[in-house]
Amino acid sequence: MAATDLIVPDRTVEVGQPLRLDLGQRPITLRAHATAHTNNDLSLYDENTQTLWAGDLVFLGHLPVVDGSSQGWLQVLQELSDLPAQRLVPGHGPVRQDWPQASAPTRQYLERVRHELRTWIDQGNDMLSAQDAIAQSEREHWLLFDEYHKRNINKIFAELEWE
Amino acid sequence: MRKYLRVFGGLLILLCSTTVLAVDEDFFWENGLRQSYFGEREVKLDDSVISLEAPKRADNAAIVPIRIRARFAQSPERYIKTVTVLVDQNPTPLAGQFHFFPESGRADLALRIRINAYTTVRAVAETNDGQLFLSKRFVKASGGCSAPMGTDLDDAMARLGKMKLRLMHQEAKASPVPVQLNIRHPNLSGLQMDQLTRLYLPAHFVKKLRVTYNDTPVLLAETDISISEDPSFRFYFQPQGEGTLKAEIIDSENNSFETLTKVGTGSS
Repeated sequence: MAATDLIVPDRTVEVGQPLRLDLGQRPITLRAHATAHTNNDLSLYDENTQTLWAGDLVFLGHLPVVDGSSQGWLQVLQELSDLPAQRLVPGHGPVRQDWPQASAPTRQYLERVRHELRTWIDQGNDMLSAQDAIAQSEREHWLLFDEYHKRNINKIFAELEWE
Repeated sequence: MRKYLRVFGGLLILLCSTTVLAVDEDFFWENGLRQSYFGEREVKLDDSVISLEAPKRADNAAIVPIRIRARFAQSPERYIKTVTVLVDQNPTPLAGQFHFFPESGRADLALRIRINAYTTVRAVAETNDGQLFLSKRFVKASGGCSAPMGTDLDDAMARLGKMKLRLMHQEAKASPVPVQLNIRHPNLSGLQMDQLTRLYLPAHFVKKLRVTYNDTPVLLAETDISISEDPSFRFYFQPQGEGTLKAEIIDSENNSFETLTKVGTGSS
């Protein structure tokens, strides 16, 4: 224990300024993202193995949970889709080898909710009635739909009504 | 014998817990709330004047959509004067008092509230003859008053007071028109912690709302910390030809904001 030092975090990764860390012939790129799944999403890319750790920016199986911004999330997935990743480690679900296709279910869910909610709001309907009406066709594609979908509707409704 | 005792004990516990639950839902109401807001006046539990709709379980306790429906249209002879929204278990139970007029057309209201713990939510309507009618729902949700903001405070402050006032549709001149009012305001409850400094953000919320149509009041309200961030209100008004619908707010720091929309010239 005598030779043990506590190393505290001393570098900040700013949004829009990826940080490339060389761990010794092992460059790792850290990216902080603008508000997407949450307001503090970070992804990690290992160049040697072309592996992307997307964290909760990609959900597989488990219904995506929106604590940040649905629009921001779609934007970030668009930006990450250019990475030449051979391997994806998602925040929920199995490791996949088909980036960026592996993010398609997350994108499709967000896009469907946004599309249906936008029409719903334009027609003058309120948030309470939206909870059981929007994007019900997505239920069969996901686990934990009943646990998180209504919450997502609330969040995205409040986001879209200002468009 | 021991077996019977156990069964009896189980039954006793079951009985007690159901009794406790039943008492719980009205405990605060019967022990202070009703008196402090309505004194000795009779408050009838009766859904025939207004009925409250709320989710049984709220998925986001900081933004719980609720709706109050009036059972009859407003008229100078018979109308709902005030709807008081109370959340029994919130630190400040009074979410808001909403005043309606014959010109409101209907005393319907949809809004979003914070819920701090499993609670009864109440809407009490006062009719123009001075009677009080209560509609209540029990909502399972917790932590809504202390939940962190949905956005960053800096962003929220930058757009403070931005308002959106929209007529939802106008079918016929004779029928009341639904209006949607959205307000950009963090409506800080005073119970939300800054995640970095671990200090509580001071309360900062919309205190007064005034909606007028050609300077005639349509909806007046006094609101408090139980209203969700970015307050949203859906209500009605009865247009009379062309005019201007105006919404004004004042917050707890005495900031005031207003917005207008033209009515009756197809500009909605």
